[in-house]
Amino acid sequence: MLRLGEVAFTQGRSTFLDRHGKVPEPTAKIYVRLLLGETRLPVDAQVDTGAAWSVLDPETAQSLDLLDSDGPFTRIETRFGRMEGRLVRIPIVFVADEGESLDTEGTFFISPGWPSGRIFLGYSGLLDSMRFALDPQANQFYFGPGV
Amino acid sequence: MPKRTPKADETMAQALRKPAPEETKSYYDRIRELVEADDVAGARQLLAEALEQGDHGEDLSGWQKVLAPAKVIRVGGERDIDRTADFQWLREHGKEYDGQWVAVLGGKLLAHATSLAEVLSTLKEKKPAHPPLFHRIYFQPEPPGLSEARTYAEKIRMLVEADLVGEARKVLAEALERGDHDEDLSGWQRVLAPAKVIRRSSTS
Repeated sequence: MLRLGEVAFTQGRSTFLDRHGKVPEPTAKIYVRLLLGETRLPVDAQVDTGAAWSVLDPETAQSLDLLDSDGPFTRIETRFGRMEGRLVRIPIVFVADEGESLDTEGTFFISPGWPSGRIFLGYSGLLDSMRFALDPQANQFYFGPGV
Repeated sequence: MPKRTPKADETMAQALRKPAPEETKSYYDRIRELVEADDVAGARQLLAEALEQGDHGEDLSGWQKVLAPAKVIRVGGERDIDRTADFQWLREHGKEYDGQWVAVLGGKLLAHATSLAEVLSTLKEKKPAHPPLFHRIYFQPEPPGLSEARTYAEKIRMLVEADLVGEARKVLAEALERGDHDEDLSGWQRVLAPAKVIRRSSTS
């Protein structure tokens, strides 16, 4: 899909949503489409390379039967304040419009106090293990496995 | 340099030395503390040290699992259907469903409710041909006092302070188009402009 010299850099590409036209939003964001959990629920999640962890909101976690998952308990400083929750491994598919989808398993923080519907893709245990690139003018997200 | 043999009183002092607090804590707790301090690299390093040492009698499998890099299961597999129409629907109608979960497919709203569980329940009856896109709509209200702002510069500043950069750009564009004001907006014009490519260079 994308090449860096002679080497394939990413394998898939998907169009991302950056903002809702009629909804005043903070600066344009990158909402990438995913299939989440064993049931492969199609959702969009905001890419946030500055966040230490990916976060799954409790409502989506509940619908995927992940809210009471076993995982190390921890407290994390977030944009919504300090939250308590668990770190959990979750199957996640980056679905391609073109090229190949990436079926992976990453670490998410699940906290009952997190606002509903806000899913973030953070760095540790997910983005730090893959290759990705953005074309913000064309709303394209390129992705592939890390090396 | 030859190693100095400790004197008897030094050996006794070492034996009586109070262990440092981090030595008394379990690896499990120390890893958690590093994670809570956002030091994931440190947590991974300590976990590796604990696993290498192996005689601590702690179950660190939970940390091992979540501190591991993401695991690639497969490259390939199913692709998504074209969601262009769904994104278009969200852009055009999102505001009408502020604070709700929506399920959109082929540019049509299949279900909406304040909870995801209700949306999923509605869809069980409808049985769509493809899985719809689930999205929760957020509407960020305008900053308080925006309508009372007297100048374009004031409006733009309020929007920038509320992180509403897109809206600030719209107000700036409107001000520049109208031109019936005597405000100097060149500062905002400069900083709200997209990044400018000055030069491209390549290395070999």
